[in-house]
Amino acid sequence: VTWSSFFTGRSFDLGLTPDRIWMELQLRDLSDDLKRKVFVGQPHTSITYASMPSLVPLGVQKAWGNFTVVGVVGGVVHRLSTTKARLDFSAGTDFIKRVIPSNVRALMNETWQVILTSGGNTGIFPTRPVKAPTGKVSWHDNQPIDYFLSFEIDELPVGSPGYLAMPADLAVVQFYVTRDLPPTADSPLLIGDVHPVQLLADLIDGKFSLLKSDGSARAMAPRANSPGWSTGDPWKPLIDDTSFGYFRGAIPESARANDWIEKALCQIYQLAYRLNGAGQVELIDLRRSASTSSGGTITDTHLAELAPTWKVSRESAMTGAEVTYYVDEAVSLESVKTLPDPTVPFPPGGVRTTKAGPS
Amino acid sequence: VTVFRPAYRLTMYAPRSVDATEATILSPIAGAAHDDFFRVSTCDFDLQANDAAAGLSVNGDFESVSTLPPLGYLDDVTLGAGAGTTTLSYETATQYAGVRSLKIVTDHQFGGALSPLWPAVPGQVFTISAAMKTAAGVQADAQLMFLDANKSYISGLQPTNSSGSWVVASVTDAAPANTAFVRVSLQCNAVGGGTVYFDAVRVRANYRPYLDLPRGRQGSIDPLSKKLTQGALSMRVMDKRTTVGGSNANRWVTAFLGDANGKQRLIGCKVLLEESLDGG
Repeated sequence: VTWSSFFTGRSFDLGLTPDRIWMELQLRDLSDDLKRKVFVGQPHTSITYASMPSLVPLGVQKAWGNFTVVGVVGGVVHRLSTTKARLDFSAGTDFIKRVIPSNVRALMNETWQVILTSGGNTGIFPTRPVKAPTGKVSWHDNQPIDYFLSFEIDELPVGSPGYLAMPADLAVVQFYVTRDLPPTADSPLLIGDVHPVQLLADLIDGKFSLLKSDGSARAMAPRANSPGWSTGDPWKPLIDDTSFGYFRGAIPESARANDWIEKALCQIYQLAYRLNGAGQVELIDLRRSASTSSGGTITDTHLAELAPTWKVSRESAMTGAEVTYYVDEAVSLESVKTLPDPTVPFPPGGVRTTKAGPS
Repeated sequence: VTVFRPAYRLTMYAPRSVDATEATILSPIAGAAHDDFFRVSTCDFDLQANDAAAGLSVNGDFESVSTLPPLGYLDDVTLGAGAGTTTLSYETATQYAGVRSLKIVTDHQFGGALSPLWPAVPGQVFTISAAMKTAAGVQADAQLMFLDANKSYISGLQPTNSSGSWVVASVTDAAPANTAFVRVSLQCNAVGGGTVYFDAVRVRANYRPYLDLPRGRQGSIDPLSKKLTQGALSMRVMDKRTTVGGSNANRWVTAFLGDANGKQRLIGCKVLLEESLDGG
């Protein structure tokens, strides 16, 4: 007997039939696993095309569209204990790189992350910005704006993801400050140009969800090989298909994976997915072929086995579309110097998103 | 006219039996005793053959890996089932078939290699067959042990060989009353132990007729919204009466969980349903 997977799921209900001979077992597939939250903070370290914006200095640490990387600032470590230190900015660090606009101030009750590089090694040090001392600087009409003077940083427990031993006293380091929390409208997760199927694969692989304690990703479900494909990434044939174009976006909030995938990827790129008998996510390319060729003869070799009882349905035909779209505007950090009101907001990533339609 | 009907088998896993990494879906935790799943089917099948996908291979040909201990087996001393010394290794010079056979050197009677536990129910018919040979003066036993719910030994099916040449032997019989598990024990049956060899160990189990065909499969994709609805399936499992009296109704549940009140504990268990189209 040669077995092949027919259905993978969980038992949902079990009951004895009135004849007391049969037990009725109700099964449901594993699509519940795809309801996991995504965009809950910094993605997995293997994701090179997405990051949360940097809060100090304000800007992006990974290129996003036409936005250039803002870079890091210099600092000096003053040890308070073996695991705690005060991190001063290097002398002469421009105030504009550590200014606190109102959007950033609204996030200061959270715990932030100092991404610090010392001696060629990079690690994460938590900090509480609300405890950080601040000064005041004025560029316009003598209206003072706050800026950070230093941060108090803590060493992570040994073995934690991103652990780095506290640098020596007076060590000269480079750093930037960011968040590892769900994105907000003011601090969105910025996803740079990426193939939509690659993004979908990374979402299913759990790289945008809560990571394991060792920093590795926990996949929501295995992915099924594309038809006729058995080596390397299961969806490589689709990822290599450049006709899909690219996805770029600013994600303002966390979401359930299946909802977000269906709305933001499947609807736009004409994709669909289902769970096959082995519980693997099978991707379906719903785009119609551009080929108008009708030559050749249909033979048995063209037959493909349909998945049993999977059906497609639609409520109604689509005769038109009303599209809501948004414009992402780049805001110059230098504009902070000309703001007449010190409380005027400046989005940390320098991205101002405006709803542009429909009217 | 041959009427073709696909065969099905259903495996239900206790939560702790599933590999947390799920790199291979429904793969049991490495090194775990596989006594926390239950399987029913519409036909007979080997426990060994084609089980690799479910991670339950008994590795009866000892060809799966070249490392020790052999995949699916541990020596009796490590498992606490025997006292003394038992060493498992591979025989690669005079193997029965393939590249490797299992070589056991032990210093006590019944020392040898033990497989994981497999769930079983009374009346279920098993066949065990194995290729065996020995060093002089000892007997090789390939025993399928029947164990009760406390994992205590009841009896066993026991093909044997006492010669220095490879002999294939098999025994078939029904599991006795109170059987809850079976386990393969490849052992040296001689006072003071000795050296024995095994290969081509196969266990065939009669799972019929506990399972009915699947019904009512659901699940859909809306091509407009791309919304996926959750797939569902209904199965019927027959609670086969094997003796007069007793609680027929709860036999299937009790076989898996050890008591009659386990319904709620079954909810949420991962389930794999497999299909065979070769009529085998």
